[in-house]
Amino acid sequence: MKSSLMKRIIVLLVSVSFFSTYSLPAWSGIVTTDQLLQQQLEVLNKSSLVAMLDRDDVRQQLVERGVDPEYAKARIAALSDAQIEQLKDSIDTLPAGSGVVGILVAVLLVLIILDIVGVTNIFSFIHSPSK
Amino acid sequence: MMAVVMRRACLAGTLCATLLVAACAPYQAQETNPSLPVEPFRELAETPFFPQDKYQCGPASLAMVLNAAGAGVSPQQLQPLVYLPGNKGSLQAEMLAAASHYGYLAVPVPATLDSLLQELSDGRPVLVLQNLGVAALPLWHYAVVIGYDLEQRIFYLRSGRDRRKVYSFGRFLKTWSRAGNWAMVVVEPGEVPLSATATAYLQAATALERQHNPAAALRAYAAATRRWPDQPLLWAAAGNAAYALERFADAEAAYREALSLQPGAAAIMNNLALALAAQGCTPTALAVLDCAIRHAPANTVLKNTLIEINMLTKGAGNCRDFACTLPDTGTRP
Repeated sequence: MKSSLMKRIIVLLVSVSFFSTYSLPAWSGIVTTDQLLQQQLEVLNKSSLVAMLDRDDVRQQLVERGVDPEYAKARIAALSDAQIEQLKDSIDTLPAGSGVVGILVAVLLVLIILDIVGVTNIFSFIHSPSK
Repeated sequence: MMAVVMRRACLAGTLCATLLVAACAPYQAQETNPSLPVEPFRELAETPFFPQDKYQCGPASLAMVLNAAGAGVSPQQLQPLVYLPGNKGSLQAEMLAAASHYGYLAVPVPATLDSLLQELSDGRPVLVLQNLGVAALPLWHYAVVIGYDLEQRIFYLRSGRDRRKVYSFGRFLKTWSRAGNWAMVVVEPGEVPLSATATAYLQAATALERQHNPAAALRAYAAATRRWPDQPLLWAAAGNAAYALERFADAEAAYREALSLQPGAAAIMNNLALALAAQGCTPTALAVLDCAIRHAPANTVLKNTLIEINMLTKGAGNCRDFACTLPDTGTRP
């Protein structure tokens, strides 16, 4: 937790120094469509920094979950700030569609568990406590 | 799938009658009658089919709708873009984002039966998320709805390893509603799905900008402004895409259209000022910026733009004047 906070602070400092010395490219000033959508004009400078940190967070989460680092970059670049925000804190609780192939055992397990706790009554060899 | 397992279990089990009442009871009445005019029967039989590998319903379903829209892409190519090995599945946000890698738009479909039928009736297969389990123990599954029959009350799906899975209305709608009625369609930039809302379409098209594909984004925004001409944000988005293509006169025209619909929008004035400055119209650009600063005096973006424009070589280009709509000072502190 502490090291993660330190890391964030360091990244923040590096970003700030980067921005303060970086000479603005010709069309730096355009308010992007993403930003227009979020009506962020009032807090634009602050948000873009935080958004950058969040992107890096989610990229690391993808890599930790087995995504190739190069693809992780491309995947992060494709997501909107709002999508990044959504993934940041709930990547493991959001639905991850996987399908029925290879999961049949899991279906059976679910049914067996439901049977054991007495929600369903499918398998005659299971005697739930409620019976 | 669960019902099949249950039915088999029923045959083997000893408490079949009880089970049928408890678990296989008729589904509760749901809104299953369309209120919009759609074809009574539709099956998009030409939709390609990719049988899924283990945990790969995401890449397989996405490949089906992308190919149906015209992109030549295989599930294997999509796997590194949407599959999350640690979670053994694909997330909805990434399913929406991945089409942009191929220059296509993934547009969310409103969570209603009407919208689902409308898209199918209009010829677009619909990628859906289903929960084949129960709320407490979900089994998330992506599949592609390719048709329906209103009289027989059935849906046709490309699902898992089934090329043509037939679902009753009730059973499909139950698995779909347990997944929040989530659905999306894939279209070429320039095509606007019938069921789309302006905001959902705009969000979908911004994905093309993030892929540094402003030409495709501009086609999408231009089509959107024809469909929803009174939405200032769509005009501003079209302006931004034109600006990125260095088509500054087109950008200017689009920003002006946006401002005619939303006169006080400082962010759009900021962009208009830059489009004017890029054409050498420094005096007009400064007038626009002055107007923007009156609307949002504390804004740092506007101040930076002012510095930037002042640094550019001043021009006296022949541009249309800009009439500033002053903020209503009576309501401001």
